[in-house]
Parts: sequence; C-alpha cells; structure tokens
Amino acid sequence: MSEPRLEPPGRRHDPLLASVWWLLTALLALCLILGVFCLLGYPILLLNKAYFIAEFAKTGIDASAFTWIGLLGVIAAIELALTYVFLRNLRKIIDSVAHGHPFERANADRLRRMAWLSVGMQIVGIPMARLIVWFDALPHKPNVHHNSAGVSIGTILLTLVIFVMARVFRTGAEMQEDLEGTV
Amino acid sequence: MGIIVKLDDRLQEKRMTLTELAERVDITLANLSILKTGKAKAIRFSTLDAICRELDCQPGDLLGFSPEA
Repeated sequence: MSEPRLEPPGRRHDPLLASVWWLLTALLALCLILGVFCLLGYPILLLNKAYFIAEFAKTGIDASAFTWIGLLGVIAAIELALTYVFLRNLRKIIDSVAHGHPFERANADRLRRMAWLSVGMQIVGIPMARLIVWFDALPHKPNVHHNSAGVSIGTILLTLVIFVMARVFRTGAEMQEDLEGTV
Repeated sequence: MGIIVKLDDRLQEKRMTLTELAERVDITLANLSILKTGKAKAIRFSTLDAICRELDCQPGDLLGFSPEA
C-alpha cells in the first residue's frame, strides 16, 4: 500500500478529520519554532553571559542558574523533537483514515512507535520537571506555576492505550489483508 | 499452503475464457485472476457456487490438495 500523501483530507466529507489535521499541522509548526528557540536560546545567552549573570545577581539568583537554564533548553529541545515525531506519526494516521485505509500495517507500526515515543517523552520529562521545580523556586520568577511536565497516571495510561491500539491495528491490518485476498 | 486451484483446467475443458466466466458469474476479472493463479487467501461459498454452476462441476473439480504445494 502506498504511503498516504501529506495533504489535508477531504474537509467537505469529514470536517472533524480536517480540523484535527490542521491542528496537528499547527502543533508541528509550533514544535519546530520552539525547538529552534530552545536550541538557539542558549548560544544567545552565552554570547551575553556577563550581562545575564549581572542581571541574575541583581535579583539574587546564583550564577550557576546559567548552566541549569542551558540544560533545561537542551532537555526541552529533546522533548520537542520527540513530540514532533509523535505528532507526525499521528498526522500520517489521520491521512490514512481520510483516504479510507486505516487498517494497514504501517499504522500499527506508527502506533507502536508513538507508544515508545510517549515513553521517551515521559522519561525526558522527569529531569525537566525537576528543573522546572527548581526554576519555580527561583526568586523573582514570573508568577506562573509549571506542573505539566513529568510522569502522571494519565500519561502512563495513554501510553498503555497506544500500545494496545497498536495491537488492535495490527490485527485489523491482518483481517483487512485476509478480506482483500478473499474472492 | 497446499491448496491447488484447478480453475484453468476446468476452463480449458469447457473452452471458456476467464473474461467470459467473469461476466457470467458477475465477479471481477481481477478477482478471478487472483483465484486462478492461487494467490487468493479465501473463497466465498457464493463464489464457489457461482463458478460450479457455470462450469457445471463440483467444488472438488476446482480445488485440490498437495502437501508439497
């Protein structure tokens, strides 16, 4: 079966699929932009290191914060890269659904890949959550709280559901192949 | 799989082409071709019924079994 093309599904026929497709496309773009920001942010900080350390000192933040912020940027970039691949796989599944071929082995493989990516995102999320907790504890931090990173029951359950769905799709693909070989 | 499809033999006996049979049993030529070349994974009773009716034969005349196949 040929690889589904990366184009919007027939919106006139299924607005839900089209909406999800465009939402995923927007999220992919956001991942790219944030990823570039995370990767380029630290070199920019490094170029102005003296300035930022002086600013940190004014607000009572230790100079070591500089290294931790850099590490947070790298971890966030890894997390965004995993999210990007996850969303790309999901968009390809949406494409195949829109083209009327949801039960194919490629989708089972994509779902299995997504489940492992989800595991990876949670593992990467652990040090990121630690760093965010540290970031929240800094004096003069912005008045926001970040508690979405790290492992949660919901994300573990989601990962398990994706693994199960991968098996469902593999069985579905086998049944589809049997059906196509029936005369 | 050891199942052999002997549709070709039966068609020769009846001096009928695959296209002609496809028209008579209302099955696509592509599907009959899959059956004839032994690439089919399964055959519906309705298909078997239609082919047997047109070729005036028994299911056993169309299908055989060989452990080596």
